[in-house]
Amino acid sequence: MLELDRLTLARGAFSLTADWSLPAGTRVAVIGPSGGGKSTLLDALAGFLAPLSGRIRWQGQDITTLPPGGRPLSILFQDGNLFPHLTVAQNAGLGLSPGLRLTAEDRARVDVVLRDVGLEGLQGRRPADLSGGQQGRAALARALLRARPILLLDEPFAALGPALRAQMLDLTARMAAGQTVLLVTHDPAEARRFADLAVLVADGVAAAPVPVGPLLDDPPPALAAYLGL
Amino acid sequence: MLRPFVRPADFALPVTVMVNALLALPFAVRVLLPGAQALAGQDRLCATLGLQGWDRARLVTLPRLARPLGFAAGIAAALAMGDLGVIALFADEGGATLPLAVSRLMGAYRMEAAAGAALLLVALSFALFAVFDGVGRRAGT
Repeated sequence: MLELDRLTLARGAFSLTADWSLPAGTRVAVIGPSGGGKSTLLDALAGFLAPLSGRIRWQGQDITTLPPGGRPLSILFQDGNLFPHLTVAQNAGLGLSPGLRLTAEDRARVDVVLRDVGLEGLQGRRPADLSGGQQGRAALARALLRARPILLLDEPFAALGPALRAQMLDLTARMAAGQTVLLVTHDPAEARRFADLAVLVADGVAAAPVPVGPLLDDPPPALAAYLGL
Repeated sequence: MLRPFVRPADFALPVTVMVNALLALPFAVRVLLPGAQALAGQDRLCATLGLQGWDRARLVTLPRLARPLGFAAGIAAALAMGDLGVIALFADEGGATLPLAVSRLMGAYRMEAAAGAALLLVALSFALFAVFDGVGRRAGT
């Protein structure tokens, strides 16, 4: 269970509160207007922003002050998820060992996961030689190899076209089955397709997660205004 | 001032190295800056992957800065080749550097010999620059 215990976040004059918990293994869409605090929430979870007050716990263990690399999570950013000078296999291998000290067994695992995400035969390529979708797959492969229980997706596929984005989300949902996944999205259809629960982030509050269908069918005023209803 | 305690000649090498390094520093900073700024964009990625310390230097920082590092080293080498400041303080008759030799030859109105030495100096400076820059390019593929 992921617990946000009376969490207060501040960035400049902006502040955001959250006080809820999330069962392990659920997929959650984080939705809300731009500038509403979605990224602030993810930054705090990932360890890039220290909360003003409150605690973050995972399975009862306090992770509020852990460094980003020590937290039980992986994050995919909007862009820049890969090191341009490293090959696909090296980028993915960083998920197993930050020093890239890989055993033969590790390399075999990297190959298996790259095949699973559809990058077989592209191990030696560099990110610049891949399409946007393939770059997303490579970053996903690294997150899968890290095998942390939580996966944060900060609109990682936003630059892709709608069809490819849906495809990448389906792949992520399939590959990350059992992981707790938080997906930041602007697209209500995407939220329905991917997530069980939704967290509405608006007006300085990250609301407790609620089932995504009912929330979108009968949106509160802030969400209705954002959706243009 | 320090003469009673040390022989200036003993410090010729370290002082020359230090002064030349300081002279080249602004150029090196200018050359390395864009690459270093681009690297800062990957701070978060490194942090989430637990990539830090020597691992980060070895896998990210040095490979991505290899080209500008080689270029900066080439500039520094060429600058040092032409340095006429510090060496004039220390050099004796037998241990002159090329720029000093050029200026001494010119001082003695041996212009043709000075021109020859200057040509050699230019060629050596270019060669040193090319070697350092080439090493950086090769390492930074």
